[in-house]
Amino acid sequence: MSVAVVDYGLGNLRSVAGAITKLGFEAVVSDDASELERASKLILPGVGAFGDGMRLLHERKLTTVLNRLVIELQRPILGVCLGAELMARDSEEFGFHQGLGWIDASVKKIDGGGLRVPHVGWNAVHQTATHPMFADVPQDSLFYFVHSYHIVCDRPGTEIGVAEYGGPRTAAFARGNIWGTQFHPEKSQRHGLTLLGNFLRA
Amino acid sequence: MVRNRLVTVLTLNDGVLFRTKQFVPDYRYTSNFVDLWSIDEIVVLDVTRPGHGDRAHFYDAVSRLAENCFVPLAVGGGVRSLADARRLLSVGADKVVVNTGAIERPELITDIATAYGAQCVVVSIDAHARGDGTYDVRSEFGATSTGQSPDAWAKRAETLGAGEIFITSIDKDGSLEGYDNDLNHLVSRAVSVPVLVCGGAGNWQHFVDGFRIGGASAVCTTNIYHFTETSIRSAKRFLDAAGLPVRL
Amino acid sequence: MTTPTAPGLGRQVRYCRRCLMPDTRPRIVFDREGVCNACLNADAKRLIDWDARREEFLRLVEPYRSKDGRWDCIVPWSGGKDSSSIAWKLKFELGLNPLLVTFAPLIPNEVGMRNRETMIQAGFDHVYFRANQKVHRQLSRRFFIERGNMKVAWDAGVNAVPVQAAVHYRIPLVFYAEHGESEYGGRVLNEESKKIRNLTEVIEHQVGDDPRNWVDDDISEKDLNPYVYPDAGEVAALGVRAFYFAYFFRWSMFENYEYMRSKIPFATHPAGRTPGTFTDFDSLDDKSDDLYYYMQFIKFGFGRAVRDGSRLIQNGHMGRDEALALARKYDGEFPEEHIDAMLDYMSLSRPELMDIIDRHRNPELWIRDGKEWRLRFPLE
Repeated sequence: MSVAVVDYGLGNLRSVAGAITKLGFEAVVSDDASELERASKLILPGVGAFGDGMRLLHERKLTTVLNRLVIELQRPILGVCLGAELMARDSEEFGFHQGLGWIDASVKKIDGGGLRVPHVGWNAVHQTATHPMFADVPQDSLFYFVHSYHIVCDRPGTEIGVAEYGGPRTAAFARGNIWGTQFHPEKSQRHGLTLLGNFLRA
Repeated sequence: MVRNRLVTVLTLNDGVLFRTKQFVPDYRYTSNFVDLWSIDEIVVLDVTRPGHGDRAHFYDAVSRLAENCFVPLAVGGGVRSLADARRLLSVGADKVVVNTGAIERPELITDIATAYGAQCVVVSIDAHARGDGTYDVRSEFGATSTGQSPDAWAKRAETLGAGEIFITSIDKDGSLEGYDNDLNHLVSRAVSVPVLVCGGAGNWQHFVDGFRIGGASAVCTTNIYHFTETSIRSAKRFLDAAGLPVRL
Repeated sequence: MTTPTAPGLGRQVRYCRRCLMPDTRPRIVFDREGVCNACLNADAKRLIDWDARREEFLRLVEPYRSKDGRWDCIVPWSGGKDSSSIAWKLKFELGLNPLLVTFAPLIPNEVGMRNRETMIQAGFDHVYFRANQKVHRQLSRRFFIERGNMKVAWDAGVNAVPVQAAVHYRIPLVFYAEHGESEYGGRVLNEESKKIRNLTEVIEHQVGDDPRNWVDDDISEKDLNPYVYPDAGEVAALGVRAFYFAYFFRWSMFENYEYMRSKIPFATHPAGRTPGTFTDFDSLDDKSDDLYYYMQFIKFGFGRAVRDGSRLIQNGHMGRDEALALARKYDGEFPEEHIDAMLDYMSLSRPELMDIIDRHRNPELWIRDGKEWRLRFPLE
C-alpha cells in the first residue's frame, strides 16, 4: 500500500516521508497525477504562506487532481499544518485567498492576546471527539506546533481537537475521508507517529 | 498552554560535533549518546571556519541526523542566499537559521520568509557585552563588530519576517556560569516572536533563570552532557518542580 | 596557532613528530612542524630560570607560612609519586606545614594504600575522604555507559573536596601538581593558566557538567555533596588560591618517582609492569585506572603506553624510537587484571562491558578486521 506525499513545492517532504517509512509504509513524494492516483492514501503537507500554497497547487494542476481524488473518489487524505489550512474555504494571510473549500472553516491570524506569535512549541491537544485519529493517543498529549495562522471552524462537528493558546484553537479536524492537523505529527515523536500510523492503518 | 522548550544546540566543525568556547571550536565531543527522543528541538550550526573544511560534510551530518530525528530541526551556518536555505531544507531542516548572512543583507530574511513562511526563519544574533551595560551585535563567528544593539536588530528582523529570534552571549559561550539574562531580557522584551536563549548554560537553575529572568520561550544548551536521556529528564523535572510547564 | 583538526574518515590522524601523542587528544594543538604543544612546553621548560621560579614561590608562600603551627597549605594527594613528591618537598625542603587531602579512589589498590601508609608513617597529617559508595558506584556506572569514563564523578570529587577542605579548615593555599593542558597537550589560555589553577576550566574540561545536574530517579541533591564546589562567595572570602607546583619546580614524572624512591620505600606494580604500558610506577592507586586508560585508547586511539612514552620523551628520559617500540608493544593491552572488580563495582556483566566498550569506539579511528578491531591510523 503506498502513501503519496503531495509535492507542491512547500513543506518538509523528507520529514513526512521519513515518518511514513519508519512506520513501515511506502512513501511516494510526487506531484504527478498518475502517481497520486495510484496511492491508496494522500498526505498534504506544508509550511509557508497560504497564498503561495494555493498558487503552487494551481500551477502544478494539483487542485483538479486532488478535488477528484478526495471529493469524488473519497480517498483518505491527511492535511498537515499549511496543508490542513489549505483545506479551508479561505484565509486572510497576506491578503484574501480562496482555499480548497473542503471544510467549512476560515484561516485567521492568531491573536495571541499578549502571547508570542508564531505559536511555536509543544502544546497539549485536547481531544473533543472520539476519532480513529486519536486511537492510543492519550488525552491532552503534546504535539509540536509552529504557525502564525489558525483554522476557525464555522460550527462544531468538524473540529475534533483543540489546543489552548490565547483561547482554544482548532488543532485537529475530520470530515469523513478528510483529516487535518494544525500540528506536525511527523515532528511530534511518539504520539505523532502513533497518530500518523492511525491514519495510515485506518 | 505551549510548553517551555529545552533545546539542544549541536555545533559542527567540518561535520564533526565540537565544543566551543567563546565561539572557537575547542575539541570534538566523542559521546555517542545524544538522545534524540527526550529533547524538544534541535538546532544544528555549522561553525567551520572558511577554508577549514568541506561543506559537504556538514550537509551529510545534517542529513544523517534528520533521518532519525522526529523533533523539529533548525539548521544554520553560512546561509547567505535563498538557495542555501533551500539546500538545508532539502537535507532535512525544518527551520533555517541565519546570522551573518542577514546582517550583510537583511532582505535575506524576507526572501526566506516569503518562500517558506516566517515560521521557517530563525534569526540568530550573537552579542558581545561592552561592559557598560550595552551590547554589540557581532558577525562572522563573533569577530566583526556591527555597532548595532541586539534589541534594535531583533526588532528589525521581526519586521522583516523572522519567526523566532535566537540570541547568544559570545562572552558566556562555553562557560558553565549561566546565561547573560540582561541580554536575554533586553531582546525578549523587544520582540513579540518567540526567543531562544543560548550561551553559558551550566546547571538546571540557569535554565529556570533563562525563562524567568531572561524571558525566554526556549532555553538552549550546547553542552553535550546535557543531551543524554538522564540529563534531559533531570533538567525537565527540575524545571517542572520550579513551576515551569515543560514537556515531560 | 593552528586550529585543531579533527580526524575523520579519509582524513589522517597525525602523531606528534617528537613525542607519540596523536591529534585526537582533546584540545591538543600541533604547530606548523607537526610538534605538539606539550613538547613545545617541555622545550620551554628547559629555558626557564628555575631559581627565579623558586624565589617567586618563596615570596608567594611567605605570607601564608604558619606562625602558630597550623597547617598552611593543602596538597590534594593520592599517595602516588607526583603528589607525594610535592608533599615531601613542601614539608621537608620548603618548611611549610601541609595537610594532605585524599579523595578516595574507586577501588583502592594495595600498592596505593601501602604507599599512603608509608608516607603517613614518615610524618604527615592526612584527611581521607571516601564518598557514599552507593551513590559513587551508580554515578561511575552511569558515566561509564554514557561517556566511556567511569571516573567523571571521581574527577569532580578530586577537584571539589580539597577546596571544601580548604574552606572547612580555613587553609587558603592549595598545591596541585601540574597543568594538564600544557604538560600533556591541550589548550593553554595564557601563561597564568600554568601557574594558577582555573577551577572553571577544570570543570569544563574534565567533569564537563555541573555535578548538581546529576540528580535523577535514585540520586538527590543531598547525595551530591562530595562533588560540588563550595560556594564561590565562601571561596573568595577565604581567599583560596590554587597553584600548580610544576610552575615553580621543574616537573617530570620520572624524576618525581626517583625522588620518592630515594626518600621512602616506594612500592610499584607487583608484576613489574602495569597493563597497557611499559612502566610500573605511574597511577597505581586505583584498580579502575587500567580500564580507565583502556577507554582512552578506545575513544581516542592512544593508551597508557603512548602517554607514558610521550612524557618520558618530553622530559629527556627516553628517545622516540625506543618509546615507539614499547608503545607499539603494550599500548591498548586489555586490562584483564582488575576486570572482575570493575564488573562488580559497576554492576555490569562481561558481555555488557564489551558491548559498552565497542559502542565507544570512535568509528573514525577503528576498523573492523574480521573479529578484531584495528586502528585505521596506527602509531608512527
